Amino acid sequence: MIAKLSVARGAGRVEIEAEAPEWATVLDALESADGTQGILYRHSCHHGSCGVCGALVNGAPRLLCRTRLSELPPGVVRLDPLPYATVIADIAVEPGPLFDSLPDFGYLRPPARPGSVPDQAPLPSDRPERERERFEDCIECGLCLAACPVLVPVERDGSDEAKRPIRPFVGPAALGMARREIAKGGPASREARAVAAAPDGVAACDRAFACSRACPRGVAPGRLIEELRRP
Amino acid sequence: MAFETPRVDPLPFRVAVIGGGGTGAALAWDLALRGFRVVLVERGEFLSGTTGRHHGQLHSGARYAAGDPNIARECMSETLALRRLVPDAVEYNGGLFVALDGEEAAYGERFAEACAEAGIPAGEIPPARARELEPGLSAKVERAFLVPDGTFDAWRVPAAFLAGARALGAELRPWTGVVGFEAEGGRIAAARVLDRGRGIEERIEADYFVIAGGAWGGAIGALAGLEVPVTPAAGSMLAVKGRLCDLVISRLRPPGDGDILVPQRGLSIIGSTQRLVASPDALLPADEEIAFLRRSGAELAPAFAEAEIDSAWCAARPLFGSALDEAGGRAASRDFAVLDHAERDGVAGVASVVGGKATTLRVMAEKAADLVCRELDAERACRTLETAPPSWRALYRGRAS
Ligand SMILES: Cc1cc2nc3c(=O)[nH]c(=O)nc-3n(C[C@H](O)[C@H](O)[C@H](O)COP(=O)(O)OP(=O)(O)OC[C@H]3O[C@@H](n4cnc5c(N)ncnc54)[C@H](O)[C@@H]3O)c2cc1C
Ligand code: SF4
Ligand code: FES
Repeated sequence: MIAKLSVARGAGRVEIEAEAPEWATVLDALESADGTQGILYRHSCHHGSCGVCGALVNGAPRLLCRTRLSELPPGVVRLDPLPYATVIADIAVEPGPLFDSLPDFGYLRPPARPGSVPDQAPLPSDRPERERERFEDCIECGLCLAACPVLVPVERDGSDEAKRPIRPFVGPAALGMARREIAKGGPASREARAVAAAPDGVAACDRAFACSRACPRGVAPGRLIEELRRP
Repeated sequence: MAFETPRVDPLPFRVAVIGGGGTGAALAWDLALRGFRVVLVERGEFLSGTTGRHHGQLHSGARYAAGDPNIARECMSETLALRRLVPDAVEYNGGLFVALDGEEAAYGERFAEACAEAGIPAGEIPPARARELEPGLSAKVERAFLVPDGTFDAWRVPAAFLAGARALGAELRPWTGVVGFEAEGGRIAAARVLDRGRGIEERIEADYFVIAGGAWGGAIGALAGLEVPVTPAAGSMLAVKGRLCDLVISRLRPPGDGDILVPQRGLSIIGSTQRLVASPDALLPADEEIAFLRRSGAELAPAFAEAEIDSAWCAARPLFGSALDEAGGRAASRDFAVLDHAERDGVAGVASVVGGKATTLRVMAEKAADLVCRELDAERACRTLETAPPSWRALYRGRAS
């Protein structure tokens, strides 16, 4: 099929066409067209795991690599940069504010046992299942921040005014992480409670649940924030 | 664990790293720790080449033990090193090699011997035990070996090295591609780069240049008239929703297509395939590759056949060497080399790193940085084995405008 894309470039737009298979994603289409147009867009894993390819697709925060052309309405696909981040060019951004908001909690479930880091080759597979390691589902893509009506309040018309948060808010991704750290009794539980209790923590959330709807990995940060409200 | 910026004793040399994949990332960190001034240029976003796209298997080396003992050994020691250095980006649950027919079962002896020789502990377990460990495994398993494989986050491990390099003052320039070189008296003196964000061309001078261009290495080298022996090949992968295993499951046979099943967060990934391509850019999996991968995944874990497809994608494999053998190149070495172009092409001041695996990114960087030290007559020991980098999150922190 022929995909038609309209990509933000500064105050204007570039229109491109790309030949792509039926099952192709928006990222695949950009990749096939990129050779001639030199569009700047972020991508890395191409399977929804690294979290770098977020952008506004027809106005909604999505991962380019997990948005199939076939699920979008026919016609031109509009691509714009994520609203909370600093634009480098086109739809490529510096995701600084996202990473500024995220605390450095451990990332494996369950917490590694003390002394479990081997310096000799072990056979870790013989571990009982409950001791297996598992990354958290959150891929730190920031789509929840882009969707949040507190962080990105009014119509996303691209003006700077529109991007300013209603009030300081650490955001759904960080609060979701805090909740999971507390739930698993991780080493940073105390720090996590402090993140949640701060003025820009749980109290700053308006309970819109836009974050949960936008999350491409089913993390449901909105629900996790609700869990943090309970004593 | 808070990161304390390591002390560095500065050297009066500037080294340019070309390519911001895993190899370039580890090299920037290594060189910065040794005291070099580092500039890294990457034509796209960091890790937008092959590195971000691989399966995420942290290779114990078992896969390569029989054919490639060197890289197998490197994989084993690097697996343990990365587990120690970037623990938050590694899931260390182990791996299983399984035989699904008589021929594969017969390969078990060769496999076990080769692993023993390469120093990789591989322990045979009864098929019933294997299915207890991984209930999703095929009922056809005839033999099974446990090995110390793991998985890692393809993006976060190298991003942590980039973050470390930046913390030490390295100048990291994504969206900046090399478009040419300038030589003076048989030595590379500068690279011409295009800053794609600002749309301007610039010159970057350095005392030494290292090409870490992965599958693009040949094209980058050609800009300086160098012959970098890398053949790009396309490797497709297929992910289904649902975690069908926690261990990495491999076929007990020499490395081939569709023979590794890797868990990754809520996904299961089967890989891969291989075909030569003229250019490593804009690769997409072919329909028949997707169908083949679907069948291959189901052979290892039957639920793969019905699981919902999450994504299908393709990565450019940097094959070391310029010709494929009859087996379609799978026998081509996964080993790596650091090539000194003064020796090979009579052009001084430039080297390239070719081949290897994402698992071996740190040691590839170490060997490349050793060469830089020799060439610039600035002997400094490698420090990356004992210095943990900061969190990957630091790569983008504090950069809001
Ligand atoms: C299908 C497949 C599966 C794999 N699975 C695994 C696995 O499970 N585990 C594992 O350990 N390894 C795996 N590998 C191998 C591993 O992914 C690669 O060996 C490794 O990522 C290569 O890293 P690199 O930094 O050398 O190359 P790259 O990551 O490709 O980096 C090269 C960089 O150079 C940049 N570049 C290109 N041209 C220019 C220019 N002119 N100027 C500036 N920059 C430029 C590119 O954009 C790119 O980012 C797999 C490979 C493939 C193909
Ligand atoms: S919670 Fe979901 S949307 Fe938010 S950063 Fe994590 S994966 Fe992305
Ligand atoms: S490219 Fe990694 S999440 Fe889309």
